[in-house]
Parts: sequence; structure tokens; C-alpha cells
Amino acid sequence: MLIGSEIIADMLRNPDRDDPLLVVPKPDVNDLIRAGSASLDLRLGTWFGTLRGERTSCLAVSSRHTEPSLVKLLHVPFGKPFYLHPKAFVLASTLEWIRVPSKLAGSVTARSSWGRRGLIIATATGVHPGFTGCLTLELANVGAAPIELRPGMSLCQLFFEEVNRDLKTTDKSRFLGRRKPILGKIDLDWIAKALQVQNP
Amino acid sequence: MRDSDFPYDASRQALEVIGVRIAEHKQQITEALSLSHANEKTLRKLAGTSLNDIESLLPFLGFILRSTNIRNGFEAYFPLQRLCQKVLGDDVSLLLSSEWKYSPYIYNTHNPSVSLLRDFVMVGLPAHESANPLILPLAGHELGHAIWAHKGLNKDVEFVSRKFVEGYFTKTWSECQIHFAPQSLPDFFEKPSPLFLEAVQWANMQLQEIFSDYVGIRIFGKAYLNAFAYLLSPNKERRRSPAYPSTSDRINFQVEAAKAFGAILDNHYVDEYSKHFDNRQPVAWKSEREKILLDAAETAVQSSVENIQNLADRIVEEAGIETPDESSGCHLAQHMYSYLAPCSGAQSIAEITNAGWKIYNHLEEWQVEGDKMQLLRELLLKSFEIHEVETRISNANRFRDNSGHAEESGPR
Repeated sequence: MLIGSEIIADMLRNPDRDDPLLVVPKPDVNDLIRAGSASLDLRLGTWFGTLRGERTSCLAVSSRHTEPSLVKLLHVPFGKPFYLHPKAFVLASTLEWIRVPSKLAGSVTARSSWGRRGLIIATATGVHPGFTGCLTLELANVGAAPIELRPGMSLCQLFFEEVNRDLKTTDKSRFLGRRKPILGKIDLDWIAKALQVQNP
Repeated sequence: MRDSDFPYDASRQALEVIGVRIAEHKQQITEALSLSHANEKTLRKLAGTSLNDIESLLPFLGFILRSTNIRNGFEAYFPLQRLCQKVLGDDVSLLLSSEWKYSPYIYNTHNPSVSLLRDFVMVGLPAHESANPLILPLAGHELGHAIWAHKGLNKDVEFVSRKFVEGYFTKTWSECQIHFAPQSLPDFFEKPSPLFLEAVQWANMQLQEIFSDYVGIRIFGKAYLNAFAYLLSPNKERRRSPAYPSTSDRINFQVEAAKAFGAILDNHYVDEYSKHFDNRQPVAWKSEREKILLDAAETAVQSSVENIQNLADRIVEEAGIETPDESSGCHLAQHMYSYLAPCSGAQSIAEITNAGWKIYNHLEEWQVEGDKMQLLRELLLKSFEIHEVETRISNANRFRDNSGHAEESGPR
């Protein structure tokens, strides 16, 4: 079940001592209650990442390439624009650092006003219990006009849902915090590896 | 270079200033070449001047280029810039970059050959540690050098140092004169002897280093001492530079100032801090004469440190900057340590770095999977950014309140 903004506001105002929901910088809780929605607005951060297509023939699974060799990072300070041109794809991060307690999970979606301008945000939307860090956003301009983005602007929204189980044993190393967008790893698990064998 | 990704305007502005100077040289040479009566001597002179200028500016170009490197802790930029402007005025722009030197470094933009850059404060953190926010307090030392140059402190301090060096030689002349060319004491002072001037200069240089330490301690408190020990201890025996106080003197001066500023109270910490350093005096004097000159300089330094400490205190006080005390950053550290999230509500980047050191000193006990140092770096750099966001919002709210706007919704 989605959690309403009043409950989110309450969690932020009176954080659980052992396992709090944290959003830093803290949003205006009164504003959140006034909005009466079921989500939390998130802002665009200052780090962007573009794929270095020239370094590799394709983004292969278990590539020998390191993350810095595949992603070129760019820092755009407050007050400066970042222009996303038609058909361009860029990784970005949220301004907010989010710590999700073990009893919650979240999902990120675009704000509709951006979608109508051709900006697609966060195609990988899940935020797991125990996550702590800035969310990596995938931004793509599918419209016909370039889009001006500015760090600090409200860009997407985060919905929270309660997790039925109290996942105290979450593998926290998977979600350890980063402030910059990351590509992450894609590895073949043992089943996928078994299925790759040509002549079994 | 103009096509580089400059995250902050100051780097681009400094580059443009240099660009204008180089264009002027180019134009002068072009005009001289076009003159029918141009002679080789004039052209050589012009070319020589241009080359000298380019040679002086080249290190600055490298510095500006390195300021674009994404390994730098960009999140520290705006808070540090604000700190610089508080102390040196709004006309000053900060360039934060990295330097392939082991210690942090500041470019002296008050050198006459590069006076065109005098409104820029150029602080380079060591390239191998430029993404490490724990050593940021050492930028406070570099800011001290910038204050020394901007406020022209050298002149006043030199006057006093000279008196103390004179006093030293007046007292010891009968024993030490055999090491100097035959001359009378009045001649030694009044001609003056280059050796006498060297002793005065060494005293001044040492006092500038001590002053810069004081500024770093006054602004960053204990975090400065931690950063200093992290980067420079044990400071194994090398030939001693007369431009720096001896390690043992420097550590004593630092500790006394830290106590006076209220940055440390704990005597146990003082003992531990001193133990980080190898305090044996590296002795490799070129001559007995050099030893005497250094002795004269150190006597002047010992007599002036209290004034220098008061001077640093007054300048930072006038800028409205408070020294973080022992408890500074405790609650921030507790928050980051427990919840693995950056802190909000910090009073200053000094408070954040003090919190960072508190965690660093308990790194082994931190129950975190993965690279703990990397996580700490991320938390501190993000905390700097959060501090900047909160400062901007607070300023904007104050402006709205002052201009009579009703309270509106918005992040706090």
C-alpha cells in the first residue's frame, strides 16, 4: 500500500531512533502535508554521467572496462545549466540523500510536467529497503527540443510502500551510499552462466 | 583550455585575465614587426619580456586546468569561497585545485610578476588527496598565506623582527662576530649586511608559516591538527628549511594556540599529537654562520609568536568566524556514523570536518561493509553540499522576510 504524505511527513518529523527514514536536505514537512499527495518530490543533483561510447564497442556483460572508463562524470554547480538535447541520454543523481528504513521500499517516477516536455526519468525505479545514498536517475530526452536542466530543480517523485516483512538482514553493502550517479555492475549469475555454454 | 569544463566561474575568469595579457604581448610584437624601422634589438627585448611573462604564468595555467579535474572535492568550493570572502572581502575569488606537491600549496598572486591575478586566491590540495575532505582544514593554512599577502602583514612584521634580530646580535656579537667578515656591529645593521637581512627574512618566513597555522587552527579547530598530523607526520629527518620553524617548535606553537583559541582542552590529546611527530632536530647546517643566523631568526620568532597569535585571532574574529571547540561535530558524527547519511544543520564546514575526524578515529569499529574511507568521503562531501544548500535557502528566506514577503512554502 502506498504511504501518504502525512505519514511520510510524520516519519521525517519524528524519525525512528533505530531505523529512520532520512531525506537530506530535509524537505519542508508542512509543505509535504499541504500537498496531500502520496509522494515526495526530489530535486536534481549536481553530478551527471555520460557514457563514453568511444571506449567500447558495446556495453558487454561482465565487461573488463571499469566504471570510470565507461562513464564520464561532469559536475554542474548550482546556478549553471545542463542542456539535454533530443535523443540524448544522461545519468544524474538526486540532490537528496535518502536513507530508506528496512520496513519501506520506494519507486521513482517522473513528474508529469517534465514528461510532457519529452523528459523521461528513471526507468529503473525501485528503491530497496536499507538503501542509503543519492538515487541515480536515467534521463532521456525523447522530445524534439533541447531541455534546460538546473541542479536544485524539482524533477521527480518518490513513492513509498510498506514492506510486509521487517528486513533486518538486508545486505547493506549492496546499497552503500554514493553521491554521484553510478552505472553499476551487470554480472551473469550461475544460472545465466550455465545457459551460455554452447555445447552442453 | 577555454574549451575545458569549468565547474566554477573563477577558473574561467582567471584564464581570461591571462588570455588578455598574452594577447597584449602578441599585439605589441605584431605592431613592432610591422614598423618599417623595427630593429632586432627592440624586437628581442619585446620577445624576452613576453617570454618572461609566459614563463611566470605557465604554472598558473596548469593550476587552472587542474581545477577542472573531477577528482577535486567540488562540494567544498562554495563554502570555502564564502570563507575566503568573509576574511578577505567580496572582491576575492577562490580557485580550488590540486597540486602535484606533497603538501597543500598556495600560489602567491601578490608576486609583482603575476599581479594581474591578485584578486584570485589559488589553493591547491595535494593531487593524491584532493578528493579527501578530511584534509580540507589544511586549506585554512593556505588561506593564512593569502591573508598575509592581501593585508600586507609582511611589512609590519618585518619591522618588529628586525628589532629582535638586532637585539640578538647586540647581545651575542662578541661571540659570534668571528663567523662574519670583519665589520662593526652598527655597519652590520645599518649598511645592512646581507646576512643580517637573511636572518630577518627567515624570521619573517617562519612567522608567516606560524601565522598560517594559527589561521587554520582558528577556523578549523582540532580538525586542522588532525589533518596536519595525517599528512605531515612523522616528518622524518630531512634537511631543515630555514623558512619553516623546527618541527618541535611548530607543534608547540600549534598546541598553545589551539588551547588559547579553545579548540582543545584535553591534555591527553596534546601528548598524543606531539608523539605523532619525530621531533629530533635535523642538523645539517652548511656552516656555523648559518646556525647563528637561524638562531637569531628563531629568537625573533619566539619573541613575536604571541603577537602573531593575537593577530590571527583578531583577523578571523573580525570576519565573524568562531573556532570549533572539542565537542564540535559530535552530534553530526553520531548521525553519520549511525545512519550512514550526510548531516544537515551543520554550522560550518569546520564543524563537518571535525565530525569527519571523529568518525575517522573510530574507523575500525564502524560496522559498515565495504570501503569505509570511501563512504566517509562521500558522507562528508555530500554534507558540504547540504550545508551550502541550507545556507542558500536560509539567505533566501532572510531576504524574503526583509523584503516583506509572506512566508511561503519551500524547502528549509
